[in-house]
Amino acid sequence: MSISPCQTKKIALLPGLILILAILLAGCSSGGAMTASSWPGISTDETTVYIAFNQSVFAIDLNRGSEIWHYPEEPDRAKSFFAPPAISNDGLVIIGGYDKAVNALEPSISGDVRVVWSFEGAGDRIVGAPVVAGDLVLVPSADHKLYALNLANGRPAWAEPFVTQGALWSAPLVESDTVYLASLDHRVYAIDLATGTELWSTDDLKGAIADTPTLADNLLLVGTFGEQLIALNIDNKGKVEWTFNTEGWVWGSPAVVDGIAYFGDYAGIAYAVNLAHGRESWRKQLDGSIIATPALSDEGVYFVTNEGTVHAFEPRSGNSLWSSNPNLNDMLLSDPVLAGETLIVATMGSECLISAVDTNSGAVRCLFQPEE
Amino acid sequence: MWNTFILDPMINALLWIYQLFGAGPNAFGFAIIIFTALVRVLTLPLTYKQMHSSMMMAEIQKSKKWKNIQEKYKDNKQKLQEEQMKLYKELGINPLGGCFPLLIQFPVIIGLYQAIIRTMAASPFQLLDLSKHIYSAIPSSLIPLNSQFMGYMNLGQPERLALPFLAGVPILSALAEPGKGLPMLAILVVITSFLQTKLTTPPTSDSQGAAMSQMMSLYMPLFIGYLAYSFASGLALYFVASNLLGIIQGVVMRRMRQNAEMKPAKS
Repeated sequence: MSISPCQTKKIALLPGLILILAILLAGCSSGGAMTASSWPGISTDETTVYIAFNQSVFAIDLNRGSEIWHYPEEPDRAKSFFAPPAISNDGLVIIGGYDKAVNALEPSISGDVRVVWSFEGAGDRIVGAPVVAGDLVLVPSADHKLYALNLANGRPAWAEPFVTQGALWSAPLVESDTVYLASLDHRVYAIDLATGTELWSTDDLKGAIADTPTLADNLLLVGTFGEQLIALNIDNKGKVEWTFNTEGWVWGSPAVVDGIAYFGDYAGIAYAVNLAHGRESWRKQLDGSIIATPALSDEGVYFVTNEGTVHAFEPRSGNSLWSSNPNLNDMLLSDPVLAGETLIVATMGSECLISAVDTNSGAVRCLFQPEE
Repeated sequence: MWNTFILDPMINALLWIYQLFGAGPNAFGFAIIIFTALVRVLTLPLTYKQMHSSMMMAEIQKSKKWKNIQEKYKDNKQKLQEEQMKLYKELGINPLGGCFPLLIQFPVIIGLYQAIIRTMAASPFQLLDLSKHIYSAIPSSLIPLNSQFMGYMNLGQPERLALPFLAGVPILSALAEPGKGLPMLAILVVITSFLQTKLTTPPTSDSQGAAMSQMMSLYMPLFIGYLAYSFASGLALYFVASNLLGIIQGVVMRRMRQNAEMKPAKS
């Protein structure tokens, strides 16, 4: 007995099709261990840069660029980290992962890392950064909930986590006894820090909010996917004071100094907006989308683009100071961080994961690239 | 090219249907189901041709003439193939007629998978990628999508149905915990994939072909079930919807075929 030509072809074709399908599906999946699901999360203290990216969290000596420690000891395909680590006053490093877990790490001088406690009660990924507030750790989760944990032991501190209607991708902002929380459900919530109860919330702001609000006096500023920067009055239960229309989605938070908010949008425009009336001071078209919050010093405001360029402007006038490209062909999506006169930027890790940019000249040096 | 003609239109169609359903809880689940049905309808002429061709081939293989040829030329493969081709020609059948529609459908299926996965965008990088594919006519307030479905399911995560009544039962108590319950959609995917394969694969008298069909009808549902178990449940929902529509299509075509066979017999 023999089989027809088409059956022969189909039989030969099917295993191939299944293989291609498997590869395509694996490629599409966010669970793929080696495919980054997000960009690196960076935080710093005076001497150390902490970076969470893919399967590891690294602590890097800021001056020498050498690795102090990394966690976990061996990369674990089930774990991935992208949220900027939070650092407590007594040196605990709090990390949230895409495995839904929160771990408090205690690094020793020898470079060993001890897990002091773990919290595994979240129902979805930890995308936004945990925040240390007194003796609490606030953890936003993509399961729509904000968890308050005791810093000492990781146990829940509120009777119930605070629940919103959308995923939480940004760190909460803590000011005095109030937590300000932005959600992908288009709303901003003010929460009592001690009890976790809602003080007020906004109406639908017509766009998801992916980054932490910025507080400037009594104005809470949020950028939205509805292509707006919105100023909310915290003395008036989050009433909208003014809105500023942008050309594209606003991902990052605004950085504020001297009554001016600096931020960028997906269309690649850097804006300076006067907080008194919500009108534009200046705008610059950059070479690529601006996803990150700009870094700000007295001398300059520093924007990074997904084309991999760092742009420095004089804050008041908007005059260009310099622009440089730390790592050609790699996107800059993480928030740049200022450490003295050095700007720390993280790429997607193709050639150099962390670069140090001199804020005076724009000169770039590679600070750290993990070993394969 | 791929993005312009396949992926982007599919992503935006999916978003448009999501908007029609109110962009709230369940809307994305319904959008997946409706979109799958639309793609099935659009590719119906191709699937019809492919299934029709497979059925015709299966019928020829059951005929006396075919069996005679097999017996007569069992020791001469070249002659056997020549005679088979002659028979196909005599009956006006193109033996490759079922292959072309199968190949045409493949990019559509891959595009559909990619559109669903990308639209769910469960992480910032995926959302950034999605933003590159959205037409300006789609309001940005839709993004990110509400992926809640049927009250307990997040379409961006693998589905597990918690069974609280098993809380005290030894061994099974883990199934009562949220996130560790029964993978209902994956089980449905295996069952419906099996039924669909059985209904759409015509029986063949050829032993090698029959063995291959049997192997595929067993392994394919398990493989697709594994994908449904491991990946986002939005994909599993697509598999279930697609399989159910395939089953309906298979049943209807079989009926049509039976009716067509009965008419000449009566006349």
